[in-house]
Amino acid sequence: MTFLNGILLWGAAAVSIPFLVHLFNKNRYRTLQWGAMHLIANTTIVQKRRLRVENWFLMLLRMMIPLFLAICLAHPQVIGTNAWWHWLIVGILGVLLLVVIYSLITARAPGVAWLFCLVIFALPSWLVYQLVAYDGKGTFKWGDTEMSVVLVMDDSYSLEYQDASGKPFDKGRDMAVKLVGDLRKGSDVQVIRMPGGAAYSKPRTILANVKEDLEEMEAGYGQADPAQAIRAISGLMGPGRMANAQREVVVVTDFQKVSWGSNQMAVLKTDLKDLQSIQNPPQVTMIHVGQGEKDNLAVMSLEYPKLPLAPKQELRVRAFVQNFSEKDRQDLPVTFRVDGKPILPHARVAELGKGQKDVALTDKDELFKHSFEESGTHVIEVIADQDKLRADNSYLASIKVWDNVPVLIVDGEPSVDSLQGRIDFKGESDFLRIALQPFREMQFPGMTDLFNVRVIKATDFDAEAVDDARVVIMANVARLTEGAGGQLEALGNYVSQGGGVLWFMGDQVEVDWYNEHLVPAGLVPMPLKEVKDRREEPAPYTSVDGSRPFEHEALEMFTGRTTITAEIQKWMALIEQPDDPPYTEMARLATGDIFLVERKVDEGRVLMCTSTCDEEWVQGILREYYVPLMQQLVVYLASSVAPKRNLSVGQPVIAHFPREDVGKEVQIAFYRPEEVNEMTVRLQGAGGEKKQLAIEENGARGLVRFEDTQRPGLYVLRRPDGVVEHYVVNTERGESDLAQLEPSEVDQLAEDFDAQVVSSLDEYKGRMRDEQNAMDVWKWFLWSVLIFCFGELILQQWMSRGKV
Amino acid sequence: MARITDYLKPGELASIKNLQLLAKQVVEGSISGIHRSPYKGVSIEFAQHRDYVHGDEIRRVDWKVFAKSDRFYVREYEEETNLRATILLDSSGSMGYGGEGRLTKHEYAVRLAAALSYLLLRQSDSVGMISFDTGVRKFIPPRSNEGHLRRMLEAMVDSKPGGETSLGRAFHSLVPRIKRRGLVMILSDGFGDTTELMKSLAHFRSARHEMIFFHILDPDEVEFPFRDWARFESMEVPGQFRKVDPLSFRATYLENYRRFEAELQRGCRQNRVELVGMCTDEPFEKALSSYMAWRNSVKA
Repeated sequence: MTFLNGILLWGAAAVSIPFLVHLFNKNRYRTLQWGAMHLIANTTIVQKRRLRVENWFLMLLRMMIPLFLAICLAHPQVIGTNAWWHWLIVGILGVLLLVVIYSLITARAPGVAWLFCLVIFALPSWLVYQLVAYDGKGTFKWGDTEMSVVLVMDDSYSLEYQDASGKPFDKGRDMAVKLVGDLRKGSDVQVIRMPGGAAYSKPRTILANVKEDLEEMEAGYGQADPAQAIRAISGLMGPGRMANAQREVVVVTDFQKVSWGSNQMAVLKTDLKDLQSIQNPPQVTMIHVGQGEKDNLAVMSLEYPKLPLAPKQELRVRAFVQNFSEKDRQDLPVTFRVDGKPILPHARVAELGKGQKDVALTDKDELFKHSFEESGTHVIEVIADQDKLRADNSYLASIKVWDNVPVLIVDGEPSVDSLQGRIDFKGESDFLRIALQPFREMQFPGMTDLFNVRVIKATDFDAEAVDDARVVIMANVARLTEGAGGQLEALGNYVSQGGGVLWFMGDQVEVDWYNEHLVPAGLVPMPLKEVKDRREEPAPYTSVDGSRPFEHEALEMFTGRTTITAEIQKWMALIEQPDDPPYTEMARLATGDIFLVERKVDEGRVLMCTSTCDEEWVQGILREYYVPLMQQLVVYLASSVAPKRNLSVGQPVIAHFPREDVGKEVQIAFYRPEEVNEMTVRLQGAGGEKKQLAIEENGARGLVRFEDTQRPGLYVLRRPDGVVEHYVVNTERGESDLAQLEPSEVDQLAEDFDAQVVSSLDEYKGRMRDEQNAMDVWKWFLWSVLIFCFGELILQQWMSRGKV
Repeated sequence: MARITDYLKPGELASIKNLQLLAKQVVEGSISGIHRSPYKGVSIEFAQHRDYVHGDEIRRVDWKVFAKSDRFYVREYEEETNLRATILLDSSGSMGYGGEGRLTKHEYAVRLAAALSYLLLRQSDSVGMISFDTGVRKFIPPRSNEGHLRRMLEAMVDSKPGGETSLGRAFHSLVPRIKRRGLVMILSDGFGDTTELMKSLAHFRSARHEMIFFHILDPDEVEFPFRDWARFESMEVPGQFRKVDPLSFRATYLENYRRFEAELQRGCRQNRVELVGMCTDEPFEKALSSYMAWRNSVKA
């Protein structure tokens, strides 16, 4: 026997209460001075014995009530064959019975007392018989008894494969609906989506609602994750949960190799062991849907430059297409669409062998390319629509096209020309200005810069100057003015309200002042230590450590192809904080000193480069790393309030808003990849799953967070000002490989799961099993409690008969 | 100094004044003019002379005194003092029991004795009292004069319950001490050896005494209403006790009580003893009134 709520067995300790009360009452009596002793002096021995027997029997009954109630609440289930301790229970009950019989005989109890004892002992005896006699055998039929059922629905997009007989998911869903419909009342059901997790916060007992929910369920989600599902089942079937004795897990899946293959099973072993080791483990049945060979062609990924894009700048897109069919494919048309509109010329993949992947090219062997006219977010899409699984026939991406980003450079050591808009390379910020607006400075015709740079000298910096800047760059600034209305206060307010500041060091910087005033407010990421100089050493410079990939998203593009090749002669050493640092280091020098570091401050962000932005401390500043590095750093700071738009399945959509928009509503709509067109990207027309979300306060800004992104596709958000933003959720393309397990592999899987595999509902329900999971006995314990209560009441009344 | 009002409230006194105790026995009747007397005209014991007044019977004139003094005197005799009643007050330990908020049986018996004494003396009957447990504790012979009531009441006050009961042995020793036959009133709970008690009552009866047994009990002793475990300690024999679960024992107790009561009734009936059951939760003057009513009906 096992207990689903074993902890409640502690309630059985209450058996001691009647015993203690009995002893207490026995020892506690009052003394009476009594005259009529001759009327009580002749109490016979029989009277005494009867009294004792009645009291002991009453006490026994009272002890049985909490004991059986505790067992009942602990939800006992008999599993497996009988065990030695079953006989121990028989022995104890037998001894009790003998004691009572002996007492009844010696007390010369009347017939009614015998009958009473017979009734009282009958049910527990029967119960014990059940415990002893149960050998785990019996027939099981769906719907015969209350069950706890976990339905695991594989809703990955591979089950959306549309052939002549329909979609595999639809078949599996119909079976699940039928199974739930045939369940006996009192059963509880949980649905686990694979992927997607549990559908309900706790198992449902209103079966009609579960049926309705199942009927509305659709596939099209990301890759199935059996390990996650098994962990969820183990949690559901744990102690005290889904407590019916007959527990079933029904998995509806297509047995894709990518999810159920041997590699995956190796990962599953531990989770499977946990599932099988729980008490009264569930019977697992797997329903195989969507059997047979399937052809599939998938757009696997899109590659495009991650540099910020301005209007009229050309975007080149590399689209990879893979053939998952068993046969070679030739001359596959591939379409490129921007914001739902086809962009000519179309491309083709000339030849694609079995399992091969290639890039789609136009007739001129060119990549897809496009220039955006307007700033904002845009949706690009590559489509290879030549098979029956539509979910992976297109790949989406959200492209942010930047308008002019105002950048303010506070030059701590400006030249006269640089302040007048000319470049003489004498000012601290000249190189920086070229890097941020190269087309304008080099007078490239027809090209637009992303940034609009304004340079001021340090003394001109104030709250008004900083007002419209998205990013402020402090280049070799000695110090700021303090006090009310001072530069320090203006910078603090700017950062706390979501501004970004990029610091460059230099010989003007007053280390003590920085540490005293900027560090405590967090306006520089770390305390400054001292300037280090390598110019007099044999190796007169150091470099940025590129031996390991850069993990910071602003530096991703510098891993591999474009390394930061600066030769740094002087730099500002910083005082590091090993434990729980408030800053994030981005890059180090070969010497081990920090080169780039950032820190989040309230709603804003500050970033520091420990060297200069000109050639004063650095050689080779005109190398190819400089422009993208400066642009990336500034874009990163400018966009730190604009979260990611290309997401993986399950990552939340996050959008920031001005504080004045808090409380307003935004609309977010989901479109499946095949629903994306010219209208839907503008959030116009019918279709799509639309939701309204309120903008919540989040520090100095408003925030919307949308978590329900399990389904790949386009999520379109309309801001309160009417501007539409696009978020794209793509899934791993593992599901595109529709290869399924071989029959022998399915058998092995069934063995590992100790499961049966069926292909239809009739086959499942027709299989009468010759064993049950367990037998629920809590009801019998409850009946016993009721009988004991009545027995106690009757005995109590009988003992106090004639009472005043 | 004890007074009747120490024991009886004015209301109780008023109710007693209205009682008319009619002696059952014709021979030893009551106040002249009310009770018939078998000793009519027969002098028993000379008391005094008094002047003849108009209306006195001529035959009661003392002619010898007239011869000596030439004046008419009438003779008065002692026998015209009526009933001789003796109250036997049980002062054994068991009479000390009293339920919660009630008089003890002894206190109740004392009040009843006081009421009876007052009543009898008011009718010019003579009344005496004997308190006893295993033997006689106090013996006050019957008298009818004015100061006798006070003496009686003082004896009652001094009487405290205690000691073992042996009604039979005590009564046997009392029979020779009550020389003239009369009314014997027993105020007791009757606890003890019932067989011996009945024998002693037969002894009294053989001396031709009229007997009334006021059987005084506490309601607890009749109903045994206890619920919790209790240790019942004897009020008469030190060290004697019983631990009893009253709930389960009650039926047996009531059976025992019924048997005891039946035995007492049978014995009293056989010995022509008037048995009057009284409970200490009843107003005793009411019990007395009901007894007198019953007594009158018997006389009628």
